[in-house]
Amino acid sequence: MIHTGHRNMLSFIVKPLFIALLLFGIFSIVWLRSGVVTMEYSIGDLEKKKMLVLKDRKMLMAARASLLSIQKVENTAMGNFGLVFPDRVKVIHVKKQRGPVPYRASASGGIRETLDVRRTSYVLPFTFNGQ
Amino acid sequence: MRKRTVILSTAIVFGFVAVVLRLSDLMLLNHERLSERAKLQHLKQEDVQVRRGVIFDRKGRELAVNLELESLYCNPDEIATPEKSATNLSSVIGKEPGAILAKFSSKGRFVWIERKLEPEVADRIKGLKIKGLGFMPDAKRFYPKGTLASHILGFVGIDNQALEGVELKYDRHLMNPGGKIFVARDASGKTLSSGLDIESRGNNIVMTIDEVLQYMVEKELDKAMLRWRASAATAIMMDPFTGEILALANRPAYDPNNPSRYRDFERRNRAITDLYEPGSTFKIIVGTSAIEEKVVSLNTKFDCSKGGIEVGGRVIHDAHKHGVLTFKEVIQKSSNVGSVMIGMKLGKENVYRYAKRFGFGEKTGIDLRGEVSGWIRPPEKWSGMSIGSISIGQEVAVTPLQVLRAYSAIANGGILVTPHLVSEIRSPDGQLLASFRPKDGKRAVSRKTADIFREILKTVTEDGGTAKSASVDGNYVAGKTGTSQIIDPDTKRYSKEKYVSSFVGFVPADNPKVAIIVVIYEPKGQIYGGVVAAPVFREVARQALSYLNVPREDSGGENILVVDRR
Repeated sequence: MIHTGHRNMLSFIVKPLFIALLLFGIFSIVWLRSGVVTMEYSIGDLEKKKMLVLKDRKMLMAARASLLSIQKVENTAMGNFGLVFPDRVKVIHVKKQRGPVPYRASASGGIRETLDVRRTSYVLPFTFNGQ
Repeated sequence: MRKRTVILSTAIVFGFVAVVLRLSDLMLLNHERLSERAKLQHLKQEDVQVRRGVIFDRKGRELAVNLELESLYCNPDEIATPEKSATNLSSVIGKEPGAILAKFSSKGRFVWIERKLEPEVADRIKGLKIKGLGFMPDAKRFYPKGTLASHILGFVGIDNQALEGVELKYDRHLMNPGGKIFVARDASGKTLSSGLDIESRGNNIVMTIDEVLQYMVEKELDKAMLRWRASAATAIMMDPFTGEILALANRPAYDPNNPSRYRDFERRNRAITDLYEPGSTFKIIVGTSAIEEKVVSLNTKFDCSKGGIEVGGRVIHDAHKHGVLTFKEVIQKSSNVGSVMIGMKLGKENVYRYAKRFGFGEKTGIDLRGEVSGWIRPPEKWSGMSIGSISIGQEVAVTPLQVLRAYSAIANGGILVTPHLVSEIRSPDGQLLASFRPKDGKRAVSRKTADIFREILKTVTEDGGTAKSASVDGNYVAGKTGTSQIIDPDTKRYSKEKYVSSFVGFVPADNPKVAIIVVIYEPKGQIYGGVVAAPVFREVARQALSYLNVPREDSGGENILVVDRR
């Protein structure tokens, strides 16, 4: 009798537990599947947004390339700002030298200023002899 | 009670059996057919959108990009009020209502109405809410710099198929294959993420040309066309050591964004497709071969005082009488008489051999379609007057690029380089896939001969030379003028009005950074290369040297900065 009682007790706990676990498992699978589908929808939407943004990016890139055409830049610089091409006599060329430390540069022909050349390139827009 | 139980149990069993049978039918017997049907219902086939790669100049500036536009189509069966819809649509896209109506009356379920609409126009059409119309994404090739470098870049057709230029030559790199992909969709047609890229991007091309140098060349060509009322013009700028084309321009030009609006002669790349008689620029052949073969020394004298020389029954004249000239002066003053004398000393075999060594009569190998080889007849087919004519650049047909390549050989010490326009091919994400490695060029002449001839070419742009107007303030220029007559197609004789004026040279002469050729076809008012083409060379060279930061050679160290570490 005692044995039977124990068995009944066990069956009383295990059976519902098994059913609960089964239901939980099924629910989890459905829930996960639904989550995956929802996620796929979200990703699909994001992909569409990404395509639209990339499309805008391409259009902007094209507009930028068009605006930066040398002809337009020259027209703006010379027409609107009155800039001119430098006279080659007034351009100083510094030989390219790479190094971690800034270079001290000075003109050998009449200039008294001393410059720190922090870049590795080299056209300095000033003139000799105070011009 | 028991009877009822039996009936119920039997019904349940039969019910289950029926379900099992149906499931077997669905899942086993007709599984394949039904799963295919299901697939068709929840999977949608989409075309992978193919996009051409971007073309950049040598400094990474975009020369050809893609615009993302939309194209309009219709399903004629779904258009409820064709007349009204056609009228409304025509006011937006600017097409005749009749033409639109004809498309609405077409057979089939898909008919293009208008391709590659501007976004604003597409939005306005969407605003009309006409049932039966639809839009499809469509890329349009866009050349943001307009006409700039149009003959190099080429253009594409309505379906982005390459038709000309670098677009055509490098089409297999610029276009990757597309194909189709399947995307899942739900009952309402909403698509789920496929996880796949629905865009196939082609590789990017990095060219050797520089937008700024190209602009300088084109600007000066435009000025020359205007000034000399010429029929056409060509200019090429090249690195004489590597063969990299820095700029290449022709006039007339066209806008690759609308190529169909232009005629064939405007779209032709004259630099590689048009032949002309080079005239005096061809004296490089007799000049260098005479030095190389030790037929002359710099001071060998030629009596040109008669102003003419008879060869094979034809008298060849100088433009001006010169007197006795040294070999150096023959080239400097571009004496035809002197050149013919040198040619006769060399003999036709030598002249022909050196013409071939400089690459005349052969394609240069530039990476563009449509290049012609030009021609020079083999010596056995020469007439009695050919040695005279060929010595002064007649009876031969060359392209501007061939002439520039020959002079580049003088600039670089005697090596014939391969001109090219593309330096790198990169994947869409920027990885280097291929780069142009210059092959070891053939030697045209020895370094010593090249050096001697370079010194002679320097005198051409100095006092007493034919191209003083090519000299650049602050740097030595080496070059040669050319003036040649065009054969009149009606009379089959040299025209007395139509000329080709040219100048080819390199600068700085002793350490060349650029080699440039300028060819002006049929100038009006003046004909000489030294007057018509040489000033164009000077202007282009002056600006290019400034842009390339090439120091002047006449500064005597005054404009050199002393730079030392702190």
